Amino acid sequence: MFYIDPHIHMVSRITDDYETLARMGCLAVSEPAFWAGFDRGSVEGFRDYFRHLTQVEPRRAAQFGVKHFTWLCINAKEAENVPLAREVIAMIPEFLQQPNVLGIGEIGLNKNTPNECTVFLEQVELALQYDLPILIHTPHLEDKYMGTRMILDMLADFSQLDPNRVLVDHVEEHTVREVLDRGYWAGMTLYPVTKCTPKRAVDILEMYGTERLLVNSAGDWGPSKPTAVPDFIMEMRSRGHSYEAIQEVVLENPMRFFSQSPHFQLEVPTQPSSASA
Amino acid sequence: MQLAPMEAARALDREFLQIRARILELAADLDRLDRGAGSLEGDQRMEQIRQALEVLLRQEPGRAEAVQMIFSRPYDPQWKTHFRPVPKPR
Ligand SMILES: [Zn+2]
Repeated sequence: MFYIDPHIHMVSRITDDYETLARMGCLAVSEPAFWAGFDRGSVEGFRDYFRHLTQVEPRRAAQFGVKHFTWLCINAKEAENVPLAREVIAMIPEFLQQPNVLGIGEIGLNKNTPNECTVFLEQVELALQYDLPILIHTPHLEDKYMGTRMILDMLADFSQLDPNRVLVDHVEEHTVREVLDRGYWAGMTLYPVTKCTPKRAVDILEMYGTERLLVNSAGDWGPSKPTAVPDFIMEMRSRGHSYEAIQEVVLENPMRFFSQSPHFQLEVPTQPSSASA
Repeated sequence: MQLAPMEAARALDREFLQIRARILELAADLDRLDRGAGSLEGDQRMEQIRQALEVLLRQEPGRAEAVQMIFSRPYDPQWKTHFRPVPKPR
């Protein structure tokens, strides 16, 4: 079955992972800019990171027929350094015309601090200025609920922002309803311990339906599993959900959301049987 | 698209051994905390665990969401009043 992983940090994965994803039917990955496992010391560190995301990873993915898309920003973890964050924000437009850039992300909150809010707001402004979709990171564990609500409060203050062009990621049982009710897209991250499991993600879909919901692996430096989306597909199949329902969540929904970005293009191979029918 | 959940009896057939295993794992976890030297009295996390276990015995839906809320810091609707954005340099 073909699918897209809409949130995965391939810079932290080995080339073999691309091959494994391709074998499992992954057509495309979307990689938001995030923390590199350490705080970068200067704006030049970020410039090199954005070159990595816009030049190196697309080539590495292409070897296996996987398309690589990316989102650029300064992440919440490094937003505590506001002067550096502002230098990075000023530099981002240099890369926005690169052909794999979909939008601004993953911006958001980490520890829900005033500095993180400042940098978040300035990057929402950047997205609006360049008319780009936004991908949002919500905090972990005990900070998730408060942080998600704060993010939704801040977004509500931008009257010109179209909720349909915003994906709020890492939702769980206590945050998904509010995000969907306000018209945003919601992503469920399948992490072994700290986020959602494939089973709970299917439970949430059974409760809320498939509209505007995505699943991703967020594979990164920490304990995570780049093949978590295929695990989710297995769980859907073993519960008897239809092929159409699975495709809706793992392929069509990401395509719908990403298609709002001028750089998104993806050829989905058609099966010979359906082509001749 | 709406997704119909699996019929309850089939879901129980499918999940029973896993539920049993996870409850056993939790019971052993709690025993392990008891066996260790020292006291956990006053540790807020033990209170969260106790409250979460009580939620599991409720005869109503929404248990997963309720457990999430026990392990979450509460939302302060007034948060903006004490959060000032950092002014931009001139
Ligand atoms: Zn991420």
